[in-house]
Amino acid sequence: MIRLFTYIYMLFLYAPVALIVLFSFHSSPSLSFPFEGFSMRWYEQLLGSYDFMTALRNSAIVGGASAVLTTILGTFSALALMRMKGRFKSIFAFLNFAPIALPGLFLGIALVILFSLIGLPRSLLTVIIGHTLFTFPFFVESVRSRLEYFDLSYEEAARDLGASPLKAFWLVTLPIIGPTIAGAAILAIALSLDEFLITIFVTGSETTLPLLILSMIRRAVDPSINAASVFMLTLTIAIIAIAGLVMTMRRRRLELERAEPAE
Amino acid sequence: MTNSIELTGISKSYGSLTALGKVDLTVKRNEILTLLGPSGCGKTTLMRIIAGFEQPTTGKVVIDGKDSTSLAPEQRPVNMVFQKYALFPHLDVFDNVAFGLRLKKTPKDVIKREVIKALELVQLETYKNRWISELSGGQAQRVALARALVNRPAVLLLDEPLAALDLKIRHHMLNEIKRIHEETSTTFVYVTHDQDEAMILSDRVVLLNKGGIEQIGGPEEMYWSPRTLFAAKFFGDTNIVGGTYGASTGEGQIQLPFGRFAHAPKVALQAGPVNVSIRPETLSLAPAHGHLAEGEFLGKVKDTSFIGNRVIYRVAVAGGTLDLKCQQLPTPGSHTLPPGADVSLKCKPESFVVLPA
Repeated sequence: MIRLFTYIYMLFLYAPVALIVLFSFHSSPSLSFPFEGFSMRWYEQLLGSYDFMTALRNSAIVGGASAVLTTILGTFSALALMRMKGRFKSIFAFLNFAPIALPGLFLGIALVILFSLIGLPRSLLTVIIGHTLFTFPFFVESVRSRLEYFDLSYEEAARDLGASPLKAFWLVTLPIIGPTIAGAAILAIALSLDEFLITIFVTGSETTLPLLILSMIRRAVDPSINAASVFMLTLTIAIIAIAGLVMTMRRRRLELERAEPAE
Repeated sequence: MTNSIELTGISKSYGSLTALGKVDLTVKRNEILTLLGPSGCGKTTLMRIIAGFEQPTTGKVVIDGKDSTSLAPEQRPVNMVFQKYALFPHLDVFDNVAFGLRLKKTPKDVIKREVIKALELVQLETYKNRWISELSGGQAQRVALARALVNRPAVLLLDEPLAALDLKIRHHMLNEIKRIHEETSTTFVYVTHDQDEAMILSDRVVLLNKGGIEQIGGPEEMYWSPRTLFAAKFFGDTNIVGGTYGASTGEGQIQLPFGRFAHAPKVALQAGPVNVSIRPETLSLAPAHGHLAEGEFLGKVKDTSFIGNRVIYRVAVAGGTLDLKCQQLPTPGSHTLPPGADVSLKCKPESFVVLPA
């Protein structure tokens, strides 16, 4: 009984995804059964499409730039959090985390008003700023929980052995927290890639991948939507897989080095 | 220059909280000095001021003849062994030990030679390619010692280095630290709350209490001649008995609940109420017999603990108003007296430590 329930549940979760993947390879434009045969024509059409390639490039720029900004700001914030104590720390931690709970709609409108107040025209730059705001709390939250276990006496030990504060950070703190930060940065790229609500408010004439897919649906039922969706799905899964790998890679590398005979 | 460290007028306060009052302390070259005291006594703060991790509110820190009060930790010729070792988890044993030398741009071949030498000193040369996570607590402790000593510091600071180890390894490591001290002839400043560690290890013990120095002295002096009630209670086991000195009882006489004893004070003593510290091992005990000789008094055994190399009796004296602990050395064939037995106790008034109440 429980097994049956599990199957139904899995079907419910993954059937839509499986259908999209299946029909993205359909040889006919029809989006219904009977299935007439496999073909790559929708993918060819997609990759030959100027709109799609532009959207892909925009998404890559926004994802990369906002992840870099988030990583810099978030790392400083997490390092400050490590050194804080008491009530101030919990207030600061809450303020870092709170934007996760804000509706995207609200953030989008607030940003549009802010940008028009300071006279910043809507463009990819405003999208990057919006995405940084969106990914920042996720970044801080995923890094913070791990840094709780970072012992500040590592830094003191480095200072004691002759390192300046900057060298102590570079030679000790960063190598220890580095994999955590890299993993969180890649997560930020994945989040930015999927982001839709804020983007639609703060973008100018540029489209990103999610915006393009929406506009394709609104124009006509074009089977290349399936291909575009599968493309995004694959990209996101790949990025998250890389994040997971990076976070475990260091330990793995260390183990490999150990396995070799010493000198 | 015979002093490694000279601290003058050191105080430290956090807002309204005073961690250290005015502390003056000199650490002699090549000695092992322990900073001993209960938690919150200021011993860790004092060590962190020497290391440079804390700035004193007032006072001067002179290390190796040089005023170091405003020097950053990396500029001071001291190295520290941290309580939780703080070995770098992303480096192996060799790279951990080489860390300080590399920062000083030491040539590669010298680094290699010195690191191996330091690891030999702590008997871990075969572990040089291990990761920190692969070490036991005792091994990590040794690596931490090597990592500090390889820099040839003027002073080695040890912050409760054995607190995280279990009892058996702790005793072994104490002897190791002593051996390493002899082989390196470096000044050691050792922080602990454990009086046994302090006694075994130290040339001199600095007993701290509530941010001030209670007493400084060698282990034997601290044990037999405590100058305050706190010091008397902190080292080992003792009986503290209230009494009266001089005046009505007469010069050189101490009135205690169980008798009057002649006592020649080692330091000038005001007549009046006093506390007397009587070590359990200075009391001798025998089954009660006919008459009491000089210095003897009667008691009744309340309970006994046989610990093998010694027997501890708790004896009610002075009509049951007071319990004294009394320690005897058992010999093969001797019998521990049962609870309820009437005994006569004999004390050595010359071993009394008389402190103003």
